[in-house]
Amino acid sequence: MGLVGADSAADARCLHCKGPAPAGEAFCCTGCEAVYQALQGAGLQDWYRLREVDRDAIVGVAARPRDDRAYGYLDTDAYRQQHCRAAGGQGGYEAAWAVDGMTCVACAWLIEEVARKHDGVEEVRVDLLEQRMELRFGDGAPLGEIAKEIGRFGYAVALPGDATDPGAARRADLVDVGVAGALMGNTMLLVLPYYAGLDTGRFAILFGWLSMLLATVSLAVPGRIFLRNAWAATRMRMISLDVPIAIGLCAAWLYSLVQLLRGAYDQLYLDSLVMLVFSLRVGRFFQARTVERATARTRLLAASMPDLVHALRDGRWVEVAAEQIAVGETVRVDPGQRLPADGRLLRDTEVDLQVVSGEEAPRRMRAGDALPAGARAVDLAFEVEVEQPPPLFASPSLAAGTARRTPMLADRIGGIFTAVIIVAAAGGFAFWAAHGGLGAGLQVAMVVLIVACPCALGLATPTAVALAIADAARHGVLIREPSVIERLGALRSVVFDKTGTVTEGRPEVERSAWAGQGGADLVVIAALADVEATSRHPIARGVVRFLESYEREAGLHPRRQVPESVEVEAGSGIRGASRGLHVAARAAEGRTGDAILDAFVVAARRDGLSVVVLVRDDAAIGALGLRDALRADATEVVSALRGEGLHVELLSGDHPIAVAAVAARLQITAATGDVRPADKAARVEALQAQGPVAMVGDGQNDVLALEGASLAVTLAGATPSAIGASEVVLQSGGLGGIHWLLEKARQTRSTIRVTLAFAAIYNLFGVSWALSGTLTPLIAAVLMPLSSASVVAIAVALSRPPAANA
Amino acid sequence: MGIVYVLLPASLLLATLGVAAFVWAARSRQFDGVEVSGAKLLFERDEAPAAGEGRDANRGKQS
Repeated sequence: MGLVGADSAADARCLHCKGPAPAGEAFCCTGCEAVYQALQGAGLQDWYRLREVDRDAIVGVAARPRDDRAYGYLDTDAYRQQHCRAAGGQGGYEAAWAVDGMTCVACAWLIEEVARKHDGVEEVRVDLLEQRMELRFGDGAPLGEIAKEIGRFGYAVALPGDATDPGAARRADLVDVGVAGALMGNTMLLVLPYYAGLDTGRFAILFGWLSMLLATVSLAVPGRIFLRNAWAATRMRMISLDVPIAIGLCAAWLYSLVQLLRGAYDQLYLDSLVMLVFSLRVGRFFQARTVERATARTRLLAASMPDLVHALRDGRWVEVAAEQIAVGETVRVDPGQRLPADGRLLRDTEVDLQVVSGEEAPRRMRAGDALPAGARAVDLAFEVEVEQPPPLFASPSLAAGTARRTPMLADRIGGIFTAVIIVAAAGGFAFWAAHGGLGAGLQVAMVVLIVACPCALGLATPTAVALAIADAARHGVLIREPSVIERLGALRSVVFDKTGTVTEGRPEVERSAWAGQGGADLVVIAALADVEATSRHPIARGVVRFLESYEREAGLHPRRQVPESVEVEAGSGIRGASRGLHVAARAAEGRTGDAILDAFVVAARRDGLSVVVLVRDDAAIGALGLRDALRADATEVVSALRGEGLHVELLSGDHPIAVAAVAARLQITAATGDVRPADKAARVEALQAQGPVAMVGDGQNDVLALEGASLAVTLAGATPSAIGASEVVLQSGGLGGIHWLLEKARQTRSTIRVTLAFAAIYNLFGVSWALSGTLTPLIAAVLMPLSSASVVAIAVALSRPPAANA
Repeated sequence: MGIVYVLLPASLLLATLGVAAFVWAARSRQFDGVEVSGAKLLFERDEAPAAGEGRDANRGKQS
C-alpha cells in the first residue's frame, strides 16, 4: 500500500491498532484497515491523536460483533414509545444507549462525533465510565443509521439493561458530600476559639447556637442516610452498623442541645458530629463509586437489543420488532433467531430448545407442534403461527444478583457493639447517678454513646472491600455485590457447567481418518465444507474449520459456494449437493462399511470425542473426531480449588459420555450429564445443605442454578440472563479469576479483622475514659478522627495487592 | 468586636452561595464524565482555529 513509513520491516506496526503488522504491510488485519479507512473517510482522524491522551483508561468488554439489521428496531415507533423519554416539548426525545467496546477518551470522542454529525441529533453525551451514551433528538433523527455507523467503528450499541440513569445516585451522593464538607468547615470555624483557649465572652451564645444550626443541617441533610438506614434496620429487627452510628450522632446532637440550654457553651460535641457525618459520607462515596465502576461493565453485559423477526403482512415478509407481533400472525424465524412468542409450527424442522429445556442438541419438530417462545432456528428458517401475545421485551433484571445480600461481618459486629455500648452507657449512668447525681449520670451515659460511635468500624470495612473490588476489576473479575468478599470465606463447594464454562464451547477436530488410501479428493472436501457451512451447529462449524485448513494445507484458498441443495437430517447431520457432488456429514451410527473408519470411530468414541462421518454418494469416505477444548486454565483452576479443600462438581445438560470425558480430564470425580436446568438448581440446593455453593455457569440453562446458589459466578461471554443472575463476572481473567478472587477475599477478610480489632481497642479505650467521667469534648474531638484515620490507613496498607503469585 | 455580628452572617452567606453553586454544578452534571471532557478540551482548538479563518468551512454541522 506504500503507507509504511520509516519503520524498519522488522518492527512494522499497524497504522490503526499499533500491534505488530506483517512486514511490508500497513495494517495487521483487514479489520484495522477498514476502521482506518472509515475514520479517514469520515474526517475523524483526530481519533489517533486523542487516543494518546489516555490509553487503557478502562479495560473494555470484548466487543461483540452484532448483526447490523438488529438496529432497525431503533427506528420503530415502539422504540420511541417504550424506551425513550419525551423531552423539550415539540417532538423531542431523550434516550440512553449502552455502548460496548469503549476503552479510552478517544473512543468516547469518536462516538460523540459520529452521532453529532447526523441531522436531528440535538445533544450527545458519552460517559466513558458508565459505558453509556445519552442522546437528545428530534423526529427525523436516523437512530438505526447512527447505531450502525457506530457499529462500523467496532463498537456495539444496545439498549441498557437498566433504564434508570446510574448517574443520578452519584450526583445526589456528591451533593451530600459537598454539603457535609461545607458544614464541617464552617462549624470548625465557630468552635476554634475553644480549642485556642480564647474567652469568647458575649459571643459564646452566638457561636454556640450557630454551630448548633449548622450541625442540625448536617444531621438532617447529609446525615439523614444514617438515620434512615438505622430506622429501616430496626423496623426489620436487624442490626446494621448504621444503628450505633445513628445512636452516636443523635446522642451527640441531643447532649449538645442540652448543654446549650444550660449555657455550657464549651461542652458541645457539635464539631465531632459534623466531622463524623463528613468522613462517613466520603468513605461511602468512594465505596459506592468503586462498586459502580465494576457494575457499569456488568450492566453493559446485560444490555441487549430486541429481536427483529419477519412477519407475513399483506402477502409480504416485513421485518418488525418482536414485541409488535400480534396473535394469529405468521412469523418467520431465520437461522440463529429466536421465536418471539408461543406458537404453532407450520412445517417440519429442527429447533434448538436449549433456552427452554436446556437440551443442547436440536430437536426435530413436526408441523402442528406447539413451540414455546425462545425456540431458536438452527439450520433452516421456520414459520410459526403466533398463538400468544409476545412477552414484553424485558431486560434481565440486574437486581437478581443482589437479592441474597447477607449482613456483612461489620454489620453483625455492629449488633454486638450496640448491645455492649448500651449496657456500658446504662452502667455508667447507674454508677454516676448514684455517686454524683442524676446530671452527672446522664452526662457520662451520653459521652459514652458519642465516643463509642463506631466510625472506625463504619469506615474500615467499606474501605477494605472497596479496595478489593477495585483490585479485582483490574484483574478482570467484576464484583457486583460487596458482600461477596465475605461470603467467599464460607464457601464449601464449586459447581461448574461444562459447555462454555470449563470448555471453550468450540469443538475442534482432534483427529481424522480417511477410507482407503488416505486423504480425500479436494473437490469432495470443498463440497462437504460448502454444505456444512450452511449449518450453525457448533460441531458443523468445527468441521468447516477443519476442512478449510485441509484445503489450505493442499495449497488452496478456501472459497465457499452456496450449495445446490441442503437438507437437515433428523438430529444427526446434514446432507446436500454442491459442485455437482452429493455429500453428507452425520453423527456416527452403526457401521460405516470401512474397517479403518470403524476402528477409528470406536477408538474416538471411547476417548470421549464426538465423531462425524463424512459421506459421498452414500459411502463413508472419512471420519472426524472432535473435542470441545478445555479452557486453558481449567485443569489448573480445578486442582487449585480442590487444594483449597473445596468440593468441585460438574453438571451439564450434555450427553453423559461427553461430560464424563471432560470430568476425567479435569480430574473431577463428581460429574453428571443430561441434567435439565431445574435439576441443576435442585442439585445446587442439595449441595447447599452442606455449606455455601458457588455456581459457575454461562448459559441460559444455568440461570436457575445461578439464582439458587449462594454465590453466582459467570463469564463475560455468557447470555444476558446468566449475567443478570450473577454477582461475579469473570472477564479477561478467565476461570483463573475464581482462584484469584478466593485469595483476594481471604486477604481482605484478614484486613477487615485487623481493622476491627484496632477499632475495638480504640473504643475500649475511649469508653473506659468516658466512664471514668473525665473525658472532655476536646479530647473526644481529637480521639475520634484519629481513630478513624488510623484504621483507614491500616486498611489501605493491608489491602495492597498480594505479591505476584504463580 | 461588634463587627463580628456583621462578618459572621456575611461569611455564612458566602458559604451558602458556595454550596449552592456546588449543588447546581453537581445537579447539572458538571462533574459527570470528567475524563472525557477534560481531554476533549485539548482538541476543540482544531475545530475553531484561533485565527477565525474559514479553514473549517466544510467541517462541523451548521445548525
